[in-house]
Amino acid sequence: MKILFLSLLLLPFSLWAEISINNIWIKNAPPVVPVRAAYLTLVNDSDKSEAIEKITSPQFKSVEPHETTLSNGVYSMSPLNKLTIKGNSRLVLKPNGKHLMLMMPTVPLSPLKHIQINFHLANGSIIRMNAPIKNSL
Amino acid sequence: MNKLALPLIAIAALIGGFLISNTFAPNKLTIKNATWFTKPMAMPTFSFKDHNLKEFDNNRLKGKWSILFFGYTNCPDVCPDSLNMLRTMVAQLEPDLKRKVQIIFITVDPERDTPEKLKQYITFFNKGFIGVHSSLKNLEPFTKRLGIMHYIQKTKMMYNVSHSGNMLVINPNGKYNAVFSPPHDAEQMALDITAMEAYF
Repeated sequence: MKILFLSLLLLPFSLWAEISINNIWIKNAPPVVPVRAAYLTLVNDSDKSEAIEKITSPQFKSVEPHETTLSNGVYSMSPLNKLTIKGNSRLVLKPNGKHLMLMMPTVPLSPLKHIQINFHLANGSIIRMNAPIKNSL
Repeated sequence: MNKLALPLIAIAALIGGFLISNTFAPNKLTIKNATWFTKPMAMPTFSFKDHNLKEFDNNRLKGKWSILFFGYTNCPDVCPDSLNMLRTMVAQLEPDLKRKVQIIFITVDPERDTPEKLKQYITFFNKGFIGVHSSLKNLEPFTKRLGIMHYIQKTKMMYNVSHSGNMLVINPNGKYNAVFSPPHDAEQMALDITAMEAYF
């Protein structure tokens, strides 16, 4: 019983959370650019709505959810308050739509193949993801 | 030689020329994703700098098909996709036409996009692409004449620049002849530019 209890303690927080994250990736950009965009799918398997309270990365000073919109031929990008996923549904962050904006890098970005992104949930748990950097096409 | 021979040769040459020109230059333009202007518009007079600090003015638009795209380097979502799309589009052109097409990225954020930064940015996507820089004061009348919108939107940490997603097509005479509105498709854009070249 003790072993089972200890094993449960070692489980990553993400397995306890009702939110899971799939298909996370970062769009590659020239090294001179101090921002990156991240894309992912958030899945909420619970019956109630869940929100991501905060998003952080050790490689960036700031991570914000943003949304690109195309209206009358003009692309605009605006910050979103927070990401909320309705019960038993998913929220897809994809190019030219909702995405994470990673700003002000704390390390040189060019040698990186992955960027760590931490999703802080309302219940205090953190989902830590290692997002690969990929070319968009 | 028969007196009639010369006029007959001339008439035959005219008919031959007419047939050849109609065989190789279609009299109907079939494009899907672009809007073609039957009367090309004169470009406003401008004098900017390219990413190598060389003069970039109206003369640089002559003799080639130029695709003008407006964006900024701190744009992590739309601009990289657009430039990757243009790289894919150019790769699909026939070699002769590829040599006649130039991709021009004009920054709408000249304060942050120095020519040096622009150089590192644009050559990351394709060494042949041209980055263009101008002061905002000189850029604004130019974009206004071409119907390109761009304006700053402040956020908590920094600022973003909203900008038109239109890609302008300047013909080899240096005139504004067509526009591709977003969203863009590389394959269809390559087909449309090929059709424009055949028709022009």
